[in-house]
Amino acid sequence: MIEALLTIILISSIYMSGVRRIKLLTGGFVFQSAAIGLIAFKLGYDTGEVHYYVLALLTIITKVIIMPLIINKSVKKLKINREMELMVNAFNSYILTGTGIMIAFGLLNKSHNNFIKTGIALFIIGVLLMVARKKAITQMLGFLIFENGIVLFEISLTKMSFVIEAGIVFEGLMLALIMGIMIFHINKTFDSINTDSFENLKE
Amino acid sequence: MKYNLFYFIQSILIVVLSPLLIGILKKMKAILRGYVGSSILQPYYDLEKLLKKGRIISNRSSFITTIGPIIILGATITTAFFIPVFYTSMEKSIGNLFILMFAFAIVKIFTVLIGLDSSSTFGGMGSSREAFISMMAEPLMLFLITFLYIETKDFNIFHISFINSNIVHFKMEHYIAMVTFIICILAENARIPFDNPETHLELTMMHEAMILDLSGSDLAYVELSSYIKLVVYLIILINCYIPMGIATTLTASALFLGFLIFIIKLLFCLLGIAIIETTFAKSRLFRGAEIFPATIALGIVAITLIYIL
Repeated sequence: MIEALLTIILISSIYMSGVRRIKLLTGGFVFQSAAIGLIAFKLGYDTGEVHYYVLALLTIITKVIIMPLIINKSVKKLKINREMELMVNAFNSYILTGTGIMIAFGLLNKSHNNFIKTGIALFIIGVLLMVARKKAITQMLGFLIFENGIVLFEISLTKMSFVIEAGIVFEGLMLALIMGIMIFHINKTFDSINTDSFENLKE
Repeated sequence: MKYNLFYFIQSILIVVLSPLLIGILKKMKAILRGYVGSSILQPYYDLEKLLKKGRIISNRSSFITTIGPIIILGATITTAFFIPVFYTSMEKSIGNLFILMFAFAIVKIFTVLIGLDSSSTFGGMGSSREAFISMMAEPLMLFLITFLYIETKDFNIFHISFINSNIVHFKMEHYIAMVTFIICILAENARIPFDNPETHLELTMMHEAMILDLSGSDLAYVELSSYIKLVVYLIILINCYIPMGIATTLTASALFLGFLIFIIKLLFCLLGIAIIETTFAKSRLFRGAEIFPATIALGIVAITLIYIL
């Protein structure tokens, strides 16, 4: 069960690394977050600890329901629904992602915890999306994938206090809210959300 | 090496029943789209109609068009005898995965040659597209064969399905390889994200463009071989990746249970294809080719996971 959910996370992250339309990117993110929530739920069911349930509930509420709403709202407001010029094209992104996951799993072959390995794979994919894309909204989604990796990473640690878990989840939520507003203002100031145009100075 | 008589019977069943399964697939698509659709026996009627007609061959075409369709049908029927269907056993039999792969390569190369042979524009275009997609799909098959070899230490498909039928909880890499193989099936059989099997619009067709010049019994052979090919690929998927419940002893109850589970799994696979074909749109040729690097990345990840861990 958990293995199948981890598979969904890996496949959705590889899919997200090359897709252009923001709607599909958001869809992949929803799938990934739902899988993480279900993993936390299953772990809570197996171990009987309450904080897993809380984490599952928080993940599903913030990442499956609220964040897609914020992203869709800002996409509708900006009238930008796809990323046309990529710094690394889709072909190379997919191959880079595959190689990155390969290196992550290869370096960590001593550890028998699949959560840590998948978490580090998600770090790599998130960083790739942040570096190789030009639109600010795609970079934000890259950061959210990175943040999913952090959640998976800390699921694997048994002694994690509840405050830190809640902190991680709310940090992601605040990021989505703030970036939603920020991207709108960036668009208003520079007439685009392409991060290249930040170099142009304006009075 | 021991060839059981039962292997022969179950393979004959596949050859005979594959048009029925395609009819079920078409019926499922019709129901999902909200119309009644033709009877599930319609592919048999089509084949009967085509076999009654004579064959007309363009006077520009060479011997390739004369012998091509029958070679295609022969190679496809051969593959049906190399796979376990709902019974497998410990003993190794003829079922090497490489033989299967190269038998499908024969089918592919003759289809491409038939497209080029009649010197029509559509045929050449379809052939070049088919070769382009096949070029990308070929490494995937090699990745998957490598994966299955590392997993079970064998190339024999009967043995692979016997070993995998004892496993209940599969690992992560097994699921990843399964998804890779599903995309590979869609690419090799000209299904929807890559090619639309229903259309005859010249800009979008690939598989249909190559056989546009065939008629009568030749067309019937090629159509039947494409039906069998899809079913054989689905059976490879079922018996290599989800072989739980396959009969491993020759008793009546085990065979009956194996047959029942097999039919359920096959109908489930057909329903999956029907859902994919009704919800997805056919992607542009070069956009469709972008799916392959993703799939190759999945294959790399699967092999890394099973080899390192």
